[in-house]
Amino acid sequence: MTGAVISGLIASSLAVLVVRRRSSAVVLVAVQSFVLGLYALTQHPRTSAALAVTGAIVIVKALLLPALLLLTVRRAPKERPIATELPALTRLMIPLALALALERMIPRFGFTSAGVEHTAVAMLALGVLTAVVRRAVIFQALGFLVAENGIYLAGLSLAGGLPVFIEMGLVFDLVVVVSVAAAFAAKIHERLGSGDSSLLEALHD
Amino acid sequence: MAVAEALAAAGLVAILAGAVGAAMGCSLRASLTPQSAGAALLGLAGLWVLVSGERVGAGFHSVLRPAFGIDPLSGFFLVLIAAVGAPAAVFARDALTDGAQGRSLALATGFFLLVLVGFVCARDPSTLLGLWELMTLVPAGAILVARQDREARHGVFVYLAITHIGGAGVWVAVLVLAGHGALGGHALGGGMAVFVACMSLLGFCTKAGLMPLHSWLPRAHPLAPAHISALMSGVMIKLALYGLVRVLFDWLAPPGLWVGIVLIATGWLSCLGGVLYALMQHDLKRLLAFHSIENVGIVALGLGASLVFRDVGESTWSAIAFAAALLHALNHALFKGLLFLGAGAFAKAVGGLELDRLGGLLRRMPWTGATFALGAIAISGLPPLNGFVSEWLTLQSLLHLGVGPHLGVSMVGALATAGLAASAALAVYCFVKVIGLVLLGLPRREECAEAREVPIGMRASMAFLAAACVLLGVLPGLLIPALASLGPEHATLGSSPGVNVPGTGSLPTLSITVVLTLLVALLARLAGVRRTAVSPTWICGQLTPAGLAWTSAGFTKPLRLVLGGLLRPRRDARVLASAGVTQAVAYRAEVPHLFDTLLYEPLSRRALRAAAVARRLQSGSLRAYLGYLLALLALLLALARLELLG
Repeated sequence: MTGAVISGLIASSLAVLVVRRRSSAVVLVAVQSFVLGLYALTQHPRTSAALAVTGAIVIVKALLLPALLLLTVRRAPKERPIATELPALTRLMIPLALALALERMIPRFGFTSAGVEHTAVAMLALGVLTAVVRRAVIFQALGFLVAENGIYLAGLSLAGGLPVFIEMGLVFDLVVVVSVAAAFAAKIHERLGSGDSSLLEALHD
Repeated sequence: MAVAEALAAAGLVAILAGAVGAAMGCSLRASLTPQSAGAALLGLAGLWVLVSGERVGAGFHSVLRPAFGIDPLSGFFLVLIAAVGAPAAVFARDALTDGAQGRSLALATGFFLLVLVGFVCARDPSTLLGLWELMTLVPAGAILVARQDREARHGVFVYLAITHIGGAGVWVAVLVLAGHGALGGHALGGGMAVFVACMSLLGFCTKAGLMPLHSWLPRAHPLAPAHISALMSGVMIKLALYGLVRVLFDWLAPPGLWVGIVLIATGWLSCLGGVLYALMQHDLKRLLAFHSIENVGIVALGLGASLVFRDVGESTWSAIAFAAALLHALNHALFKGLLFLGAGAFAKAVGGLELDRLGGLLRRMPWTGATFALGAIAISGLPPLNGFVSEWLTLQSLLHLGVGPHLGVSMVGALATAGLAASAALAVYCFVKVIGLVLLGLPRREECAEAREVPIGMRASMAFLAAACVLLGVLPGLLIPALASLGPEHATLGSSPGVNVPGTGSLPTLSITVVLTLLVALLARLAGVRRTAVSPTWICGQLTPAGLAWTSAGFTKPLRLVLGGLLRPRRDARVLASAGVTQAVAYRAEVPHLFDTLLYEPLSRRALRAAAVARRLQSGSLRAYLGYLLALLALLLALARLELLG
């Protein structure tokens, strides 16, 4: 994996933390997933079944799930600004610092490429931190997609890759999470006029 | 050993068949009779092992692989289970009403018996702990089958909460012991032994109902149907002591003198506290429940004395104190079983068991009344019944502790002796009240006046227990040497019908019984020849209505006044007057349970406050939960980096 690709993956993950428009963030993650899918297809020669699975994963992560999220965004166009959202610089700096700290603390897995290993850990951390710092449900779903892309990248770096059924299982989980998040976002927007998940905290007993 | 194995197998099959019969909808007779027979067969198997000293089945091991076996100590506790379980099942046959609820209770009875038997026969940590939990849950289920009112639900909640919190100590102790291979291997010693001793004391003493960990017992025991109460009070709390004996005497290297002294202290507190609060109760079953605390305290005194004797090198006395504790455990099972069954019989005949609303039942229910009176004499520790023998043996042990060369140990022995003597006297006081209010005098309500004797099965089970109380009072020497041999030093005592304890002049129980029997017969004959004129009680020319008879509170008022500073009784008297004329007087008095008001209620309030604080962490926000997850991950990684994690 070239330095440019690694930089692109990290930059897109950071961008999801700061961009304001939900559709822009969805497109960024879709591109990130597509790039990772291409990288997977260019890896060592694999069986036709493995190629089919990789292709399916690319289609799901780079096309279907982003399309679902974009559809959700389109159906709720007049998003009320989220007043309690942290400023963009803070949203960027805090996760960046935490991701760097985590990346430093996690022991080496022993991948052949140190750069890929650092990138995978950073994407995983940034994805989870996106879900922590962003209040809109769509962004939280995108955070999970970024985190899963980190895991996927780590899987690609393993000798022989991840077993097919684990890859399929991960994608299935992702489909469920994103579908529920999309439905959830649509519903709370319909009721509250906003996709801000923190509005729901006052509902618990 | 084929005999004991065959008896045990037949017993288990019979109990199981009875329980399955209850589940399949068979009649109470068809389901509870096999259970009773099965319990008896298991008791015979236990007796066989106890007398022969051989072992059946697997030995203890620390691996999590289910195994069962019987050694002489388990054999003794099987006898104890059978002694109460068999008559309790017969009693339940006539006491329960045939129907869905009765069959559910019959099923619960069989299941409870199996769990109790399984616990004393378990030979590995997983089975032991699993059955320990079931031993808590099954009676809770039985209570809820019998009663679904708010009081019952609250009582069961408190019972489950306290016994599970305490039970955590049992889990920790047994798992640590298993982790070190101490179950069936070398006894655990060192600092870990101290930790295990603390955990086991916390866990087993909670289930045994020792003060101050007893708060669940007077709430839960009175709620259960009579035969389940008999099993809980007579057997279940003894099995907690069985667990304590296993840990402290078998699986731990002597952790030090302090364990024995702690047991003596809790026993002392339970003896005195139990009997004092029993005296202040107005409900018969609740009174009996407090007496269970007192008697478990006496057993703890014996066990504590045995540990102290072992530590100061007096092996014979250690065995004597151990035998005294086990004998009292068995005796208490017998007379407490009898008393709870008697209370159940009264409840079936007259309804409620409020002491101030009973009376005159000896004349109307002579079998039940007589056996109940026998149980009351036994629990009061009066000769020639079994309670006297084991309390005497415990008292001798404590007296010997008091005359030893170590000043601190002597003081502990002297205080414990005084405590036991005081509790024995107060127990007599308490049961004079019970006999007076329940059996004697005039009936205080219509149901008592019309009470009829209960069916033959209930009477037979009480008669069996009463006979056992007499037998163990007259011939305790048949059992004591076998119990002493189970002790830490496996001492050998001389065999005799009475109690033959070195250096005490012994106790000729048979002779005492003969003399007392002759004396009673003589008094009865003298009373028979005296002419008595029957006339109404003289009370200013009026008839004596029930409201003017002695009450439970009135009988114990002298003690309440003397111990007012300790018991802190509350009374509230209000005079309702109109135009200067008194219309009514409202009077309310109670003796609050100080352990509840001073210990458990503040603890519970603080725990709820802490829970409210902890609840803030549960915000319902996905973001917050992810934050916790990341923080935990970061903390673990940091600890790993600093090499503070394995």
